[in-house]
Amino acid sequence: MDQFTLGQERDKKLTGNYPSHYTIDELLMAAIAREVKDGTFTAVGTLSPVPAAGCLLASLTTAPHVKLIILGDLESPLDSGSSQFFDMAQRGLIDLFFLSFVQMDAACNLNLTVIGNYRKPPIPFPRGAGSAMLYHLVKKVIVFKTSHTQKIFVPKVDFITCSGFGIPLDNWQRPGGPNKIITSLATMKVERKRKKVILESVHPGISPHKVIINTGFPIEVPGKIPETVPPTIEQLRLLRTTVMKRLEQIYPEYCMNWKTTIINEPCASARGSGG
Amino acid sequence: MGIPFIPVRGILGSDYLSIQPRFKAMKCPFTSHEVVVVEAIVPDYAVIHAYRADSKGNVLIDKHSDVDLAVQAAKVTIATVEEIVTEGALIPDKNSRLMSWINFHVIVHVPFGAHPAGCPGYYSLDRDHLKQYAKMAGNRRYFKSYLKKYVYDFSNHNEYVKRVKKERWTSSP
Repeated sequence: MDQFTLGQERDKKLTGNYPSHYTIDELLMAAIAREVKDGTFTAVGTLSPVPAAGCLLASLTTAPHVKLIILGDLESPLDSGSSQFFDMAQRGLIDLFFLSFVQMDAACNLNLTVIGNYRKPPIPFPRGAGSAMLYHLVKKVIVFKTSHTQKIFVPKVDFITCSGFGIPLDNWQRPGGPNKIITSLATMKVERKRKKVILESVHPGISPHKVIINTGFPIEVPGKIPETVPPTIEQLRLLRTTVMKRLEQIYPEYCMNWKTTIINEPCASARGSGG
Repeated sequence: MGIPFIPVRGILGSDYLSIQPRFKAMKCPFTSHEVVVVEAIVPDYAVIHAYRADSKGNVLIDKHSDVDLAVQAAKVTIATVEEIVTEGALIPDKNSRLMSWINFHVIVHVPFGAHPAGCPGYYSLDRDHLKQYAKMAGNRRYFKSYLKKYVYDFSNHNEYVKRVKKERWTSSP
């Protein structure tokens, strides 16, 4: 029995529907899986192992008929390259997509391009690829980040790669847009009509106050904030077996780290992480 | 396609419109909606790396690759390949597809030509080399020494392949 299997054995001993131990990424995977609706066209970009795992989990449980495109996957249903996916998005066929960012602001603008001045960038990033188009055309965009600080949630982004509330949201140009923000601390809902970001749930062990002080712009905080529902024992089992096996073909390096995290930090839960 | 520009939906409100001279907003002559148009790129050369070519010049490429876009856009197109086989011997499998000989000006036999990236079915990504590259590319002086070691120090590709193969097999089992 290798060390990884030991981790699984340990989980079997836990009682109830929810395990007491899971990693923060596994919590996020379960949160993402809940957003994937059955029968929809859902796509995951490159360098997005956590959203990919969440979508794979959904396809094994609540969304067996999801039409899933994972860019960079050898088994992807695309006939040719990613240009086919971008064309589908322009036609308005993609229901759900995930975007990450280096800065996000109060107007839900995303910066994926540069910190500082574009002409003389102290920190250039790999640029936005098709995100400036996808942020308008994909019906529901989930903005995803494995951290949550004032450094990334800023009053105003240095560079608008993808425009948020600044552009009218109901015209031909913009059938879609940001819908939800999922981070290492919380999930937040984006209300496009009211142009507001609303705290939806906080991860176990995280206070709403911690989310507020780590977000560099005002967010709406309802009276009662539920905790983000953690993965069930069955979801965790699927994540660490079938999903991981499939994900290894696309993200071998990420899966190596994932296994190490499970072995080394058996008690890693959302508690005390992030920030 | 030979067209001067192409309309793209979305993008409006992005700072790319102010810093990227190839992006402009205009009124669609048909619908009057504001639409972003992007100028065509016409490279002098497109060089792509593929699995195999046959003696006729047909090329077997990665099914999920976008290299056809570069081939469509460029004035002169060059395919480097891992192997050259006899005409008619190219059979696509589930991970590959064919591009016709009419697309290419030149085919060059370059085994290990994708290194340090991988070529599925031939060799995988050279992780150690890429890590080294990422480290050295962050600093001008280091990057110069990288170029000397892996680009300028060889008179031909075979010498390069010999060096990196030796490094690879001695560093990782």
